[in-house]
Formats: sequence, C-alpha cells, structure tokens
Amino acid sequence: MPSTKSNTLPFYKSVRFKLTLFYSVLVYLFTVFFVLAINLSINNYFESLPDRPANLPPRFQNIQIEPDQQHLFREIRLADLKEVQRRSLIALVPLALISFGTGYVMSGVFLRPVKKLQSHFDTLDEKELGFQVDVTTDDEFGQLTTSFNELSKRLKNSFDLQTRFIQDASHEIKTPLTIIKTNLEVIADDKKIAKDTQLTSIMADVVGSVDRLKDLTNQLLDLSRDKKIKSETVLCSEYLKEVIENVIKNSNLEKTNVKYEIGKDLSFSVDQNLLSVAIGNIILNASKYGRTKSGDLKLKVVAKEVEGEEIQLEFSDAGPGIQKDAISNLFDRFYTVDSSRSRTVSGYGLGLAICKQIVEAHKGEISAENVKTCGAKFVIRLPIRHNKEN
Amino acid sequence: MRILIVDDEQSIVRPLKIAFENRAFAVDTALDGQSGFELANISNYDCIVLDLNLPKYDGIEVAKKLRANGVTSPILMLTARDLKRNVWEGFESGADDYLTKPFDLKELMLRVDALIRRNSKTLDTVVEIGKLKINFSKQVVTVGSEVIILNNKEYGILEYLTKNRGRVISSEELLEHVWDSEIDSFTQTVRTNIKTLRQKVDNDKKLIINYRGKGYAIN
Repeated sequence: MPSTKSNTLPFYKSVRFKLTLFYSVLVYLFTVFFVLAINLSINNYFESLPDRPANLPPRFQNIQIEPDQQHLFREIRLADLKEVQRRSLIALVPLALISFGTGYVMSGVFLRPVKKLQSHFDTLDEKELGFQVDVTTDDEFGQLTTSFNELSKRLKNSFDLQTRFIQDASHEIKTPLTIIKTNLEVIADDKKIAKDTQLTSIMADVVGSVDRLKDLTNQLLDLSRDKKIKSETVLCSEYLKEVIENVIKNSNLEKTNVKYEIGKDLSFSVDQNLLSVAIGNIILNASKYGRTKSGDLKLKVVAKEVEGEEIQLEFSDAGPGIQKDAISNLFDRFYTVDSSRSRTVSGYGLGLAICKQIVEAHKGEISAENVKTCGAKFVIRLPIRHNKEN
Repeated sequence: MRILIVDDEQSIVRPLKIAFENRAFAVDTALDGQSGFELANISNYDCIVLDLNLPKYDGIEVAKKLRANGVTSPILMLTARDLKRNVWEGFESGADDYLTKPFDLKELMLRVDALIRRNSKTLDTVVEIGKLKINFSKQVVTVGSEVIILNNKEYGILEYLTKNRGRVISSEELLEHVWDSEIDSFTQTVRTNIKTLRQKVDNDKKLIINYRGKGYAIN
C-alpha cells in the first residue's frame, strides 16, 4: 500500500485553526459581553431618568411642554438609544471577521517555527543527513528545534559509522582476495604451468573460486549498505527495455524471449542504478528457476498505473512456478530453494533479498506469486511520488 | 617501457612486477606514497599503477602532487574502495584509469598497454618498417618471415625507439625507459644492447641510426 501522502492537512484539523478559533472566540465573546453590558447599563440609566431630562441644553430650557406630552422626550431618548444599540450590534458582525482575521494572522506567526521544522523533516530524506535548522525562538518550539538538530546529528553519525565500517570491511576482505588472485594468475601465466593442461585447469578452478568470493563479498556489502536513493524520472518502456536487454546481454542469457506490455506514456521517478540491480536480480532468478522444460526463458513484463497512486511492475515467467513453502521465505537473506546448497544452480540466496531492500528504499513493495496457468510472477509496487520543487 | 607500481602490499607488488617483467617491462616499485611520489618525480615512467590506500601519502595525494609538479605519466588507480565518490575523487586528482580490487591481471595489463599506447606516437598494435614487423600486443618481432628472438632489453629498446619514431632518443632516455632503477647510470649496457639488437634486426645499420653525441632513432 502506498505510504506517506503529501502532507496536506485539512484546515479544520490544524492547530492553527484551533488557535485562531480560540483567540477569536475569546475576543469576540469578551467584546459581545462588553457591548451587551454597556447597553444594559445605559438602558437602565435611561429608564431611571425622569421624563423631563434635567440637563437640557440652555436654549431648550424655556420650552413649554404639556405634562401629558412629556413622555415624548422619553420615547425620543429611548428611540435614539435603540438606534445606538442597533448600530453597536451590527458592528459585532465585522468585529467577528476582524477578530478571526487577526487571530489567524497571529497564530500563523506563532506557529511559523513549527512549519519550518516540518518542512525540514520532509526534506531529510533527500538532503544531506545531519542538516541543522536555525533556532529562532526562545520557547518550546525552540527547544523542539534543538532536539531535532541533535537527532539529525546522531542519525548522520550512525550512518557515517556504518558506511565507514562497510568500507573498512570491504577493504580488509578484498585485499587478501586480491593477493590470492593476482599471485595465482601470475603462476598460471608461467610458461611451464601453461603447458600442463591439468595444472592449468586446477589454476582456473581456484581463480574461479576467488572470483566467486569476490562476487559474494560485493553482494554482502551491497546488502549491508544503507540504500539512499537518488530519484530521476524516466519513461517506463525505454528504461525497462534497456535494463532487461542489458542483463540478458551481460549475463549471456540464452534462449530468452521477452514480451512487454507497458503504457506508452507511463513514467516513474526511481533511482535508475539501484532499480536496475533489483530488476536484474529478478531476471537472473527467472533464468535460474523459471525456465520451461525445454530450457526456454519466456518473460512477460507488464507496467501499469494503479488508481493514480502506484506504478505496478510485473515480471512473469513460464517455468515451473515457486514451491508453496518457499513463497513466504523467498526474499529472506541466503534463502535458496535448493537447501542443500549444492552448486547445480549457482547463487547465495542474496539476489532477492537485495531486490526487497531496493524496492523498500523506494517506499514500495515486492511480492511473488504463482500464476494459475503456469509460472511465477514477481510484482513490484512503487508509490507515485509527487516531487517537491528543490 | 618502464612502469612504477605503488602498493603497500608486498604480496601484490611482487607478482605484478614478475608479470610485467615477463612482458619486457622495466618495473620499479614503492610501498608507500612518499617513496612513490619521489620515484615518479625523478624518473619519467611510461605508466604509474597507484593504489589508493597507502601509508604516508594516500594515492589521491600522490596523484595531485605529481600533476602539480608537471608529471604527465598516465596513472592507473587501484583500490578496494569502490564508492562512486572515491572513483570521482580519483579521476579529479589526475588519474587516467581506475580498477577495483580484486582485478583480473590480464585486464590490468591491457589497460596499462592502452594508456601507454595513448601516449605514444603510434596507436598501432602492429608496426611495419620495411621488412621488420613488430606486433606489440603479441610481442613478436619478425624480419620478413623469420621470427627474431630478442631479450627483454633489446625488445624494450626497439619498442621505445619505434613508439617514439621521429625523435632522437639519447642513451640516458633509453636507460630511463627500458631499465629499472637498479641500474647503474654509468653503464655501457645501452651500447651493448643496441649492438646486439642491430646484429639481429638491422645488420646493414639502415634502420637504427646513431646520431653521434645525440642518440639513436629509427629511420
């Protein structure tokens, strides 16, 4: 199943929304309360006044008004008051928008360090490990950023240690292998030895063994290396055809026939080198175990897009299929179907384990199944990554 | 032709020296970066086989320093470390080719041959001058239909003169490119070997010309 979608959070779920809501509701309620309270107290005040206002401006002082009309003053004052109240209530509407708006802006500023951290987390895969983020605030977010920086440093250190270990191990193993191989080759080169056919074939066997040790060492080191992928977008049909043709040519695979069913415009974003190793291993595996009774290797390669979320690659052969009890262990390291490890079929059981590592480094999945008609089918599912702009 | 092999493993250096000497190369060796650098600075090697992992100076440093000092000998780097980063660093520091260990001996020798061929006046693997025919890849010399047996030094002189045809080569230069560092520079061995070489392939002295006071050249 495809993993991490792009990190779009619906606004109503975000902390920003909650903060904005909290702030604006608080401000709003307070203001509403304040307005209502003022209105109420003014109301009470006006109600409590006598009909004829005591503080009329001087020029109205001498106006004579009939007692039974003095209630008109009151009514005019109350009408004016109602108008003020109406206007203040109407003002509450734009107030809601203003408080929400300022709340939104403020919470955005407040949450900026979080957004920055998040974007750095996202790019950690592609950028150099050990990336440090500037600590800009003195608060909990600043502390969080500092913790992130420490974690980032630790990750880089452990990655560097591992790389160094692998390189050292590689050197320690390859040096004696080189000594053996070079000395043997010089001996085999000697005219006296070259004349003796028995000795020559003995030397050839020994040198061949050293070469196999070399291949095994490379595979083991490959397996223990962390797979950091560098993705490029390629056209599926071109890429797959090229990779498969190369495998067939370089490994001298005979009696091979490949059928392709690939969408013409289908493309994906993958680490070309690593994925070619994975595909190569699947093809070599098929060549070893997936041939028909007459020794033909009939491959079908399918590439299609599934629901806009994944690219699915299928590699099927027309061979005897996979033994039932082998399917669950197929991608384990050193697992070979021929458990006696006899050398009728060469291999150390690492090829498919390497495939799995590479596919998983692309955040994809690999599986194998038996096809009903006949043969085995290997399926690689890769999520469609929406590349961020670098 | 004369090459320098720099590797800290005596067990690798020794068989390589034997293998190249069997093919009429003169071989000098060094077990650390500093000696390697010093040797390459003094003598003009036709090729330098340089391991990356060396004590004192590592291969990258040696290559950089040599190029900075104007040494133009082709450099083939050997290493057990095969990270892309190391490969790029190797080329950037001035290497011309790169092989990872463990390598095929035959491949190493073919690559050294190729680097030397690149540098020489002729890219041909077979050269014919009059009746004389030299097959460099098979190391067979014939005059007409007759195969001539030359010792390593005679072959080395003939090869060097032919690959630098058009120039007059001094005795010192021949000494530098056909003999290894064990030789005493005041020796008569160049003259002796030219004499025996002429006896075998150039009896009428028309092929190898001696320019008095300057050196020798192929006509």
